[in-house]
Amino acid sequence: MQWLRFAVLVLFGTLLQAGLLDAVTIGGVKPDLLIIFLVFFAIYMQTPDPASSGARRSGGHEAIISSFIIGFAFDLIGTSMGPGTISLGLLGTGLFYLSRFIRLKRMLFQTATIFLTVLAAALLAYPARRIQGQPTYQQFWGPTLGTALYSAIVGPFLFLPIAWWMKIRIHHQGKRY
Amino acid sequence: MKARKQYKISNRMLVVWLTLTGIILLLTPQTITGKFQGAFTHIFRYPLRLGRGISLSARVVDQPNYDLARREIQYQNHIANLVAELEEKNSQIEKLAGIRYHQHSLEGAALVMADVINVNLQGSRNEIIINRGQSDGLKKGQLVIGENSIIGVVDGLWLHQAKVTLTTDSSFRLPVMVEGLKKSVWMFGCGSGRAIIRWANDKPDIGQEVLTEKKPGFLDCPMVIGRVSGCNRNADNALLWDITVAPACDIAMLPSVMVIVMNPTPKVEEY
Repeated sequence: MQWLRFAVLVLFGTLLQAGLLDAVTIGGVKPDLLIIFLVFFAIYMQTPDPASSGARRSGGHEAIISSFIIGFAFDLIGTSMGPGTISLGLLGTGLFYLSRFIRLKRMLFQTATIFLTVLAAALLAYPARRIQGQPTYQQFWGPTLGTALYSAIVGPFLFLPIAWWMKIRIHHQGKRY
Repeated sequence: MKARKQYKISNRMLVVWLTLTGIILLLTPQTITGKFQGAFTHIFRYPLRLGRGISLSARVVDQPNYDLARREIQYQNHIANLVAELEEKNSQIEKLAGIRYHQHSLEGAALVMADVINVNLQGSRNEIIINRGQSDGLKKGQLVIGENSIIGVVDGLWLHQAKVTLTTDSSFRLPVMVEGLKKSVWMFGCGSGRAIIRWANDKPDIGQEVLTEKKPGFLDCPMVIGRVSGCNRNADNALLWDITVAPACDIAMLPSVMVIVMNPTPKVEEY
């Protein structure tokens, strides 16, 4: 894992999410770049474990730490600190373990994963925000579903530039990038 | 020489530690954790402002008559404010007949102009970050004006920046008046650029102005805060109405706003 590149990527994504992405808002909804990053790292942090000649996989530390860092960045531009760190951290970890058993490298699966992750992140952050005494959301499902759908459509196309920047080799529709 | 012992942390332990860190962050008072967010927006204020500028110009290109529409909204809000002010004056004259009263709605107040650094109108959280803060005389609870209408309240303060909770934020609530309704009602923000007035006795017309009540120490005269954009029967009581209110201007497109500072100290910069 190239942590410097990762830091630059997350910082860039956070700044885009906080400002420039408003230019691509459709119906008040914009894609969630940080969750797209989260899914990417959870899927592609699987590296062959040299101790078991590639049969088993490692990369857990990187995936877990990157998930929590992305969650922290999510909170920095969010309403409060904590809910994003916990929800995205746990979701990223869960996705990492899930991707050991289910191959999530097909575009359709990635789309579905991003969609479900956005929904799950919003649902997981909900009780945490309630703990902080924030009010119930009267408009919860509309924007959340919109963001999930938008992110799911855009997300898989962003995996290639992310992989290029992070120097991670990904397999995509039979090709190796 | 004794070899240095290497500690290996299991994935499970790492998750537990990081989750605990998240829980500590969650339970830490927002006055402290808010400083992280404030520091982030302060450090990266230039790229954030640049990003916002680009997204604003991209949206302006989409709307050819943007300047005209903006002016129209400004004038509409200004007229609504004048009408409200006039009515307030009349009622005061009626109440205080014979007593001299010459106070203008914002007389004695300073308007601190601030540039918008960042806007968030997505979901339940509707807020903006402005480039004025405690050092400019801002205080929590001060009302913020955009295009001659009230758009929010100063909620978070740092030295040179402030967070403005918009009228559509889900945590926002304020007593308001709607022409046609006999008494003042509470308006609640409900996120995604909308607010709602629940359990109203009467149905106002669509497009009707919604005005803030006077707020001693913060606002001396009612001002327009939004317009009625929809009316539906209340789900629990069909005799009552739920009124949807849209902001009186396009907050996403605001380049700058003004904060009302009542009874300012001479240090405050006035415009």
